[in-house]
Parts: sequence; structure tokens; C-alpha cells
Amino acid sequence: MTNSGPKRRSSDAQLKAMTDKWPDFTGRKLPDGTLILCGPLKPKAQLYTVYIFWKPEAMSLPYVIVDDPPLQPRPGGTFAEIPHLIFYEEKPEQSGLCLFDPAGMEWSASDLIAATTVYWTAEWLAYYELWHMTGEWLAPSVGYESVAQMNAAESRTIKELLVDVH
Amino acid sequence: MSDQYPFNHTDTLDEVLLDVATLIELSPHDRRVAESRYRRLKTHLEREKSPLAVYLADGRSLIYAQGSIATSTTIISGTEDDRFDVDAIVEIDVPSGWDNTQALDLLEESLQGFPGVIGIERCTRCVQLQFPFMHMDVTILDRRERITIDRAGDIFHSPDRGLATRVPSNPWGFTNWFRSQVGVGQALFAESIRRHRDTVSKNRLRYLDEDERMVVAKADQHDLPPAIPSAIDAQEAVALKLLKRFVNLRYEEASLPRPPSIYLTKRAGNVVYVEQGLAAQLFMLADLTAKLLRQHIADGTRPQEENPSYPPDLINDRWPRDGALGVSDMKTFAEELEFLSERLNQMAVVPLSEISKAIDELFGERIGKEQRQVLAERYDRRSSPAAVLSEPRTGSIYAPAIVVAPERKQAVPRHNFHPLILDSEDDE
Repeated sequence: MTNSGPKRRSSDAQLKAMTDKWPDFTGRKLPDGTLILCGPLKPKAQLYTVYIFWKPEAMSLPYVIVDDPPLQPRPGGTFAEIPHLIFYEEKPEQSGLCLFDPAGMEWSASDLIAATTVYWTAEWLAYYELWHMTGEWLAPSVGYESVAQMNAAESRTIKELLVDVH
Repeated sequence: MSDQYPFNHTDTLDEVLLDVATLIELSPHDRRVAESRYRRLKTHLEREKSPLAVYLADGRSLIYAQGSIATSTTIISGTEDDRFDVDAIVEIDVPSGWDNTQALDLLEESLQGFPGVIGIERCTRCVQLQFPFMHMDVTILDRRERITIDRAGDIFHSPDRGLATRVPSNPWGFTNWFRSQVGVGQALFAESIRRHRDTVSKNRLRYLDEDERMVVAKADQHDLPPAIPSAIDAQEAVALKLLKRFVNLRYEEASLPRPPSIYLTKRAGNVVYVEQGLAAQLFMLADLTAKLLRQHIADGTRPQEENPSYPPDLINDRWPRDGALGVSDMKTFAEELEFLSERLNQMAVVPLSEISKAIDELFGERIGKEQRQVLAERYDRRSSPAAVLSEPRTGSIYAPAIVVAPERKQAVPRHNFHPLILDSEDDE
């Protein structure tokens, strides 16, 4: 969770930690070192299957997607309104979960996915269910809540600038 | 985690149901206020000018709580009505010369002038004291026959039309039977509901006057002997509260008579503790009772539940009705219970937003809304980002306030959620 002692964990070390801590997950390592983990979580009421992708040499953070049931906006809403996604506009249901603030250096490759990412995924899913119920994201967060909010804020800024120009 | 049986991992559904149960029950404060009114009932009936005083003069405690307050299963009465209905027994030797209406007549007369009362109503088997947010049904029990069963006797059935009769009764024994069946509550469950009460309980009863406030305060300070049996936090009793709430709502506008609470209490006492949790306990209670009623309909029989402490006391003597009407009563109730069972089965596997809709449907929109607020407040960490706890293997997330055995959970490492756009500059 910090960048101190930046000893990068190997894929094998990550896989072993996952097997020990989350025995219902299955994991495999591809020849290029990419780790693909898949397993069930039931953080609140619903059972989910999630995938975690991690390529230590090429990625700055593990990419977590919800496979089943797929992510859904609130009724009448859009995917971009779902809070705290790594928003994938072309395939929004494959958007990743944005589990920490990169600027806050809350995670590094020296951290175990089993001790951080999986718990944060469970927490994200719990608050996602609460968000569906209440319409509010009740967990701690920094910055904009969603990509939709981010885009709206940017649009506002541009419009305000244009008003100043004329 | 993909079991066919849906109730193996229902912590969240149980959490929601515990919230509902805590919202509809007597709060600890309201129990103390109710208790003071039982004390006051004794004082009022034993006062010098009370026509019943002379029959209460043998020095034994002859006035006691019965029904839901004694089985610790009192709940609010209706959809929009935050009223508790509680029961009291006044045990006397009814003189042999009295007819079957005289005891209730005298009771009604003796209850006049009860402090803080806003109405006194004569009912078929009791006299009802009406307070804001609380009704107390007071029943005379004749113990003249000195039946060998502790506190068994006759109560009086005195309808507006038709003959007044005597009905064998032993509410004291029934209460003891139920309490012995369910016990005081499994330790972890009892602790869990106490934690829910700390944040969810609603105090509804207001002091009638300064005397009542003083009595309640004294009870707190001096540990007065209880006027009502101690609270029990058994899962079976909590499931019964939920079932009673469901039945109250489903029959609110029904033309058919609702099954009496004491019948539901007997059923709850007969269903064993279900270790999978509260949702499973409620499902078992509803499902088994529906099957029992279906069997009666198929066999052409009807439930004849006896009071286990005193078999002449037939606890469902007025439900179901005789003949075809009774079949209709049983069929309707079986259908309601099957509906509840089906909903619980669904609720065990759906997300919170779907559970919430079902809670509105089963227990009322007002309670559902209050429950959602309670749940949201419990998990709202925006201004004080305390860690949540997570369970190994399932990843279940819990607010620390309700976790009974935190040593078995893992604190989720602190972090902040944050949005990004894939391929955006921010992502690099």
C-alpha cells in the first residue's frame, strides 16, 4: 500500500498468496507473466464473479472487472454514472474498478493483490449495491465520483471560458 | 458459494431483517415504560375505592403480563400506526354467585380513572385501556377451581350478542412453555440484535405523567423486581415478530379473520432453531406452517392447538372458523405464507436494491424506508472513513458497529476510490 521498499512481487508470489487467502479463486499465469485470477465474492447480498488481470511489467495497477452479473447503471442512468470506474467507453461493461487513488500512492507492485485488491474489490461491490439502493456513493473517495461527473465538470469549465472570451 | 439451498450465506439479508425487527419492536425504553404501567395497574386495581380490591387482597401477586409482552414479541400494530398492544391478567377467585359477565363488569368499573388513559373499551374477553401509542388488554382469570396446573383457570367470553361463557385458559403456562422452547437466545445472535438496537431502536411511548417518569427512573436506579418477564433475544422470537408484522399487513384490509397471534407463537415455539440464520428461520416458520395448513385442508381437518401447559386451553378456539369458512381461512393463510416463503427464497440471492423492494412489500413502505436510512447511515463513511471489516473467503463486508466477533474478520486496508478513463492521460 506504499511505495516504500519497492520490491516488486512476482506473479508466482501473487498467485501463491491468492491460493492461500482466497481458495475459491482460480488463477493462471500466462507465458508472458500475465496473471489472470477469477473467483466469487459475496460482499453484500449478491454473489459476483470477478476477474483480476495483472501484468507486472506493463501495468501500473491490477485491472478488475465484474463478470457476472455484469455491471449495470441505475435504472434510467448510464454506465458513465457508475462511480469509481476505469471507464472503458467502447465496452462499458468491461470497465475496470478504480480501487485506489494513484496519486495517493495507495498501491504499488510490492503489495499483494490478495491482501489489497481483492478486499477493495469486495468493498467496491458492497458500495456499488448500496449505490444502487440509495443513489449515493457512501465510501471514502477522492476527486470526481464518476466519469459522467468528470465530463460534466470539464464541459462546464469550457463553457465558462468561452463566456469569458466573448 | 453457489449452493442450491439459498440460505447458506445470507448475512446481508439477516442484517436487513434484524433492522426491520428492531424498528417494529418495543425499544428497551418502551419496555420500561410498559413495565411501569403494569405496576400502576396493580396499584390502581388494589386501591381502596376499586371494587376489585377486596378480591386482590390475599397478598400474592395476582396481576401479571401475558401474551406478546411476556414472550418478548410485541410489535407495532399497523401500517401507519405506531401502537403497541399488550395484555395483562388479573387473577381472582370469582364468587360462585356471579354470572359470566359480572367479572368483566367489575373490572371495567375498577379501571375507571386510570391515570393518563384516553379511553376504556369493553371487549369480548377483556377491558382495554387505551393510551397514546399503547393499548393494554386486561383480562380476568378465575382461579376458584384451584386447578393443579399453576395459574390455570377460566377467562370469560362475553359477546355483545349470545351467551356469555367460560373458556379454560393458562396464559402463564403458555408463556413459560414458549420461553422454555426458545431459550434466552443463542449468544452471538443475541449480541447481534443488541448491537442493532444501539443504533436502530425507536422510542415511541411518552410518559403519562411525572409519576410514570419517576417510576421508570427508579426502576433504572434501584433495579425494581420486574413486572414483565425479561426480554429474550432468541432468533425464533425475532422470526415470530417479523411473521406477525407480515400477517398484520396482509390482513389489514382482508375480510377474513386473521390467525391469532397466539397460534403463530405456538408455531414459532414448535420450529427448532435454524442455524443458517434469521432469514432461514423465518422461511422455515412460514414454509412449515403453510404445509401444515395444506395438510389439514387435504385431510378435512383443522388445527387444534392445545396450550402445552394446560390442554383444555385450546389456543386457536376462534380460528379457523367452522366448516367451509374455516377451509377458506386456512387456504388464505397458507397462500400468504407461501408468498412470504417464495419472497424469502428470492431475497436470499438478489442485490440490496431488490431486497429493499421486497421489504416494502412484506413489512410496509414506511418501515422499508426507515430501514434503508438506517443501513445507509451505518455504511456512510464519507465524513469519517473508518475501516470496514471483511470476512475471509466470501469477502463479505460489514460495518464494525454490528460485528459481533471482529477477531474473525479482516480490516479492509485504507484507501480511496477514484474514477479514471481507460486510455486517458490520467491513466498513464
